[in-house]
Amino acid sequence: MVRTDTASVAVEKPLVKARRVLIVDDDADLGRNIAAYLSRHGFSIEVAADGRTMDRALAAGSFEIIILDVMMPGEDGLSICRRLSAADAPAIIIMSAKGEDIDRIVGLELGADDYLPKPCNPRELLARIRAVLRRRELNRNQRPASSGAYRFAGYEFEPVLSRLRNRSGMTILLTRGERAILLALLDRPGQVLSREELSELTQSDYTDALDRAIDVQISRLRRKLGDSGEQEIIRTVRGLGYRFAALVTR
Amino acid sequence: MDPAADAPRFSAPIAVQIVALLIGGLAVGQIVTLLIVLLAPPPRPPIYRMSEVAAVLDGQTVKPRDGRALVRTLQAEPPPAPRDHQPGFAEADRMTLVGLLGVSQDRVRLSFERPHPHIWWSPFLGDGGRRPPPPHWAGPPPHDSGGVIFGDFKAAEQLPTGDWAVVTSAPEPFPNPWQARVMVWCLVCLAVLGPAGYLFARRLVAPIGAFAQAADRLGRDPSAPLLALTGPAEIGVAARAFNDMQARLKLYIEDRTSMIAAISHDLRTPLTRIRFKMEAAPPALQRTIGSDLDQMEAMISAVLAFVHEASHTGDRAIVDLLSVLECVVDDARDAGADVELTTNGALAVDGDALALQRLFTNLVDNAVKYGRRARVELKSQCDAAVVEIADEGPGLAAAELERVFEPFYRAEPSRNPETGGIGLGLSVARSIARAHGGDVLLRRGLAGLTAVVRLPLADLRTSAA
Repeated sequence: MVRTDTASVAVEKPLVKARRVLIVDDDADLGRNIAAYLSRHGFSIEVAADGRTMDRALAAGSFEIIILDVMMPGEDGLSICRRLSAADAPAIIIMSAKGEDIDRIVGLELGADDYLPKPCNPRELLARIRAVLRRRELNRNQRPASSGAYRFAGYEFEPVLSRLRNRSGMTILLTRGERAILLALLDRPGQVLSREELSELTQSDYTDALDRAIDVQISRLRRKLGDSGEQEIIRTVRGLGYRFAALVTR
Repeated sequence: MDPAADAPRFSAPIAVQIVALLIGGLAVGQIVTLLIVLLAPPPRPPIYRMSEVAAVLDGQTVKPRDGRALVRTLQAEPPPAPRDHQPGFAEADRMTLVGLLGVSQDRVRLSFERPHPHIWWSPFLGDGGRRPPPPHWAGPPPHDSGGVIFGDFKAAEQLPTGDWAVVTSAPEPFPNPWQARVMVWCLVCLAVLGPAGYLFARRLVAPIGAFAQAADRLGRDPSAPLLALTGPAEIGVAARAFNDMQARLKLYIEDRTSMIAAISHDLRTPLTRIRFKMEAAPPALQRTIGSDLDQMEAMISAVLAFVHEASHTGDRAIVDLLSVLECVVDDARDAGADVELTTNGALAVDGDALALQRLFTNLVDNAVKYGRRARVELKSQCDAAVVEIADEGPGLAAAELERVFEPFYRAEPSRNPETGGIGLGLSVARSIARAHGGDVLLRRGLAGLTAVVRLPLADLRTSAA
């Protein structure tokens, strides 16, 4: 295959060492293709066809991230996800043909770092892998991955269900961009985040968030939070960025 | 689920009920008639005393005590000979009359209009039930001025001038008091029996009406609840047949739906493979095949969303409908569409936020696709939140306005080769709206089409507690 020449394109990035990814998928053809694609982007890949092969690969060497299929012969992806949720275990991205909200929620509740429905765009997979790894690094000392709800200024936000509720229990729907920004701000209350930082932190939700002005997202978020002025949940810090001003409890 | 599980309770067959109703009505009618006969005073024939008849024949004006007025006329010819059925009686009465008038026998005639009623009515007579004279009775008792005639008669006397004075009883008025009384009774009977019969008949056919409604509901929605196995036996049998049919229909639809879902689902893995393989292809090829893949994925998502909507009900919560619309409108705007939202403020509905988002996304996408732009308006009307999504496209023919909601139906297949729609957007929108107790309609607006979504408002006071 043409793996070698495309790999050289990816190598232009200053990588210290190739990050190791384990693909667990019973579809050998797909596994090979994902491996080919990711290795072109500078990852070091191994493919396992089922849970047992995966265990052997994990015993043989350490991985930073596992791309996990759900429907496999033998042990299924969700069960694997559950037993791999120890703190020092690799990050997990579930990639499944089951794309319903409930599947996604179950996957995330079981400890997956991200859930990607098939069919997915390879670039989206790449973006999500990078985002998960980045988030892991950012959060290494900050907080354990927890799914508890955030409470602030009379609102309650459940990140896994991505459900925002106001004082009277009414659910307020957020777009993916708004959700990502709110989560980034809620994780760092009182901290001033620049537009670049916010953009960086919210890229995990592969959308057009990159292209969208952070300011637009913030203003929409404020509108939905009824953040008119005196309350000031999200404060603009002139020349620097934004700061979550309300008290956040979990 | 098994309709046979709970013991069906049938009432008597309709045929039996109808016969019972008939017999009941008849019985009531007969009883009323019997009561009339037994309790009401029987009709009495007019009674004319011989003395009254004689007086009138003589030209006096007499008001009969127990009969109708007597009419005296003069004529040249004698009345025709009596066609008498019981000549004995007539002759006896004539002789009484002759005695009273004091004229010769051949100048007096008497005939009865009907068979002589003495025998029939004498037992009912209040004046002691005078027995009629026996046939061989030869003449009037000397001092009997109390001889009577029952019923209509015609008496004639030849006057000294040679003319005949003819006395008849005035014709019986219609209705006579007895007839009037019977008629009133009949009317009362009808007035009572009619409404009662109507009520019973309505109760009788009520199960048929309910059955027709249920069958109609089944026609529209195969997952409608099964028919209740109650009512008359015939309805029970039909309901059971219908329920069996519905079960088969549901199974058939479920089979087909799950097959479509399985195929769509299984297509995802090969599509993913193609995606990854395409990454090694030249950029031009990536672009063209990439857009084909996008289209295929959109179709698969549409099918799966349709199947999902048809078979699942999501998490219900009190949702701020405005936030849903803002998400839809903002997403569409970010994608470069010309969409505007006007509103008076937030409205709360009880529903699945993501399903509602899909509903409005489908409608706004349609408006943008076929009508260039979308004007979204949120308002409240009575107990409902109403969202109107107006576009400025060519609109649809009146006949199409309902058809476009049918799954896989596309108004104009050639029009949108690039959109990736497969005619499920509106079906999904409608099934979501209906699952929320509302509905979606298309209406022809001033320019283009207007989709009108109506959703019941949530009662915040009770739900927030």
